[in-house]
Amino acid sequence: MAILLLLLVPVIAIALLLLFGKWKNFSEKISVVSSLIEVIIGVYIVQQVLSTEVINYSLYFSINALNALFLGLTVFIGLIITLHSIGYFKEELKKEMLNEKKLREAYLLIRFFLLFVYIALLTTSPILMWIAIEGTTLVTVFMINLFNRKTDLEAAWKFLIINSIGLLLGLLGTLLFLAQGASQGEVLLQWKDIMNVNGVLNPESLKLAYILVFIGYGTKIGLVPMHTWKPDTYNKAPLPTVALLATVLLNVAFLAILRFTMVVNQEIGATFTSQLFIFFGVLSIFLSASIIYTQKNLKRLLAYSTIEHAGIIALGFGFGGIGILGAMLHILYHSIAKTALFLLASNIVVRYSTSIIASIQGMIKVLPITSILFLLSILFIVGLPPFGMFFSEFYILLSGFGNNIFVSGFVLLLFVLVFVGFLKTGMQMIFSEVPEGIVKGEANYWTLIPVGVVVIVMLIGSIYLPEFVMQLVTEATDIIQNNTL
Amino acid sequence: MTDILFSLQLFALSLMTVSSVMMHIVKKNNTLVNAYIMQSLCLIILLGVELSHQFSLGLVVITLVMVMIKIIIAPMVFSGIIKQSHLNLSTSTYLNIPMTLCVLLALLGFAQSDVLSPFFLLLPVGSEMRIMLIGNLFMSIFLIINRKGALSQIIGVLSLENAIFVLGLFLGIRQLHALELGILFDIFFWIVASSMFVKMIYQKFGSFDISSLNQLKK
Repeated sequence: MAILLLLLVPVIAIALLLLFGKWKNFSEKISVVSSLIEVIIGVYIVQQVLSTEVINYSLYFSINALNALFLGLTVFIGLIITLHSIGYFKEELKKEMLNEKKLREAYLLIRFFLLFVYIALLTTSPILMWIAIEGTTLVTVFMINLFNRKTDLEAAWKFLIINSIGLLLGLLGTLLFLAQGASQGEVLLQWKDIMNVNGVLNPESLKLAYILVFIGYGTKIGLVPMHTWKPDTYNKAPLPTVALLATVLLNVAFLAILRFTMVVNQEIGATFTSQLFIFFGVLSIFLSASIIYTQKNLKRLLAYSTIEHAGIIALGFGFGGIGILGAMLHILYHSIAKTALFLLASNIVVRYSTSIIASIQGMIKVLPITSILFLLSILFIVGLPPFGMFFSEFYILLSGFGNNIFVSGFVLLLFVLVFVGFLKTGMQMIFSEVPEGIVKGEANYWTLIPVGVVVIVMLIGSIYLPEFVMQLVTEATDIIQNNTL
Repeated sequence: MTDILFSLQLFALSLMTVSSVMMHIVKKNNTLVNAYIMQSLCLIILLGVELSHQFSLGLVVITLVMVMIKIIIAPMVFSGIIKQSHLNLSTSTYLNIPMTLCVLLALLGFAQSDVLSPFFLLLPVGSEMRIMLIGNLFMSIFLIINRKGALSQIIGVLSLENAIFVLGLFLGIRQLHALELGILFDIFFWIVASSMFVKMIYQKFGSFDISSLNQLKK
């Protein structure tokens, strides 16, 4: 019942936005109320999962610790981004980057996006998950083009075509998985059904199907070489939107791959999937680390950082063992830290009217609170001890050194490169002279309080993870390790 | 009866392959849209054959929705864009026609290589059908890469989707019709969204040519 409620809330919000969106400030209010209710239901569902392990709703929806972890993150990030958007869009309205109609459109698109994400997270059907993720693509393309500039249109088109091809390949892979039961005359509706046609699955066709699914959803994640849409999209889309893509969407795509991974691992062992995760993981870290060091654009820097962290997560799943725990923790920490970084970047870009790093100087004098939060977030994202990301990366590398010492050593070197690149850029932006003509002062409370909460959560989470979070993470890790779906 | 149905399947697949090749070499946007209609009609024929094997109301509904989306709505939307923009002449390809045909030949050759043997294991059909089924997939992907027009890229994606749908039919996958309808509605909204973007590209860049979309590099 709670699952149905969670899906109904954004549907009702969408209906209300369509009907009464023209009323003054109605879009903001209804979005906040909807987000708050989603958080309450999300917390209730997580609590239920912790006590009963699995909640089912009809044949098509089910939730265990694995998707509960992703759901908890999604509702939290959804609320924060909705709150931040109020302040952000106010500033963009002042600058005439958008009008009232576009503003209503933006709030509507965020609700649609979250609705599709909830469906994708909660469904037991690979086809329904595909439909929902394709739905996020259609919504995102309009979000990218919100400001309707030439470059936005170009980025949106690139996103649409690359992601559509990727997802169609993902659909093809999904169909090949489902075809495994066709020869036996079985109808495979859920991932569990695919697992249950034990002994019938052909290892070679399973591998081919998995590669296609990996490429398909890997495009959504932005793993190299399927990442080409990412820097352009992140550079052009409104930053709260980008925060959703870099956290919520990335997690959903990982969940899709993980579900197929468990099917394959159950049938043919983990070697094949591990190799793919490690290969694409290292490639992603290598490319992004080399670009982060020399990057001159803040939004692109964060885009490559997202690619790098997607690579780290993939590496964790590839290494297995304690690496999986590291990857799950990394998903958690990365989602929170990247939300903070993108929302803080939106404060910076709104104030300086540019994302070129060389033009963003003297931040500590212009945006003092944002600067401090930004510095803390940078230190967190580069994995400096004692921040949480240090531990997740440590677990992943620990597992890696036991598995493949050369790969782990190489990745460790790349981490150093990213560390230096990020710190160099951060210091240059924060501690330098203020350029002429820049108005000093933070924009408004909406752009500070939500992101401040995220940073506090991030810092507390580094030294103390509440018991229920730790239970979710360990149970989710067990699900992946034991292929229990 | 079985022989007739098999011949019909073979005919539809051959026609589908011919339309895929046509999409690569035609110069006019209208002809490109016609080639897409022809390809989609083949898909409907194949669905008709499936219906004769196992009749169900759900499958009839899916066939009708598919006719609506692929044979009526999508071509109407595309023709509308072509009329509005007065750009019937399609933009060029990256490779010239002889080279394009060579690549298509190579792709059809690759469709029967041993690398794809895992595919063959799942496809309970003869080699001639297999080549066309897999070849259509490759040719559609190549269409998206090789043609410079935004409209051609849309039709390339839809052609890929047709090829995957046909492959799904031959793989014998059965899903609940509600889910199949869900995929079709996704495709419908994809057509609507991508057409809106093609229009916007024409309004902002004065052309369908995606090679003119180079603002991000500046």
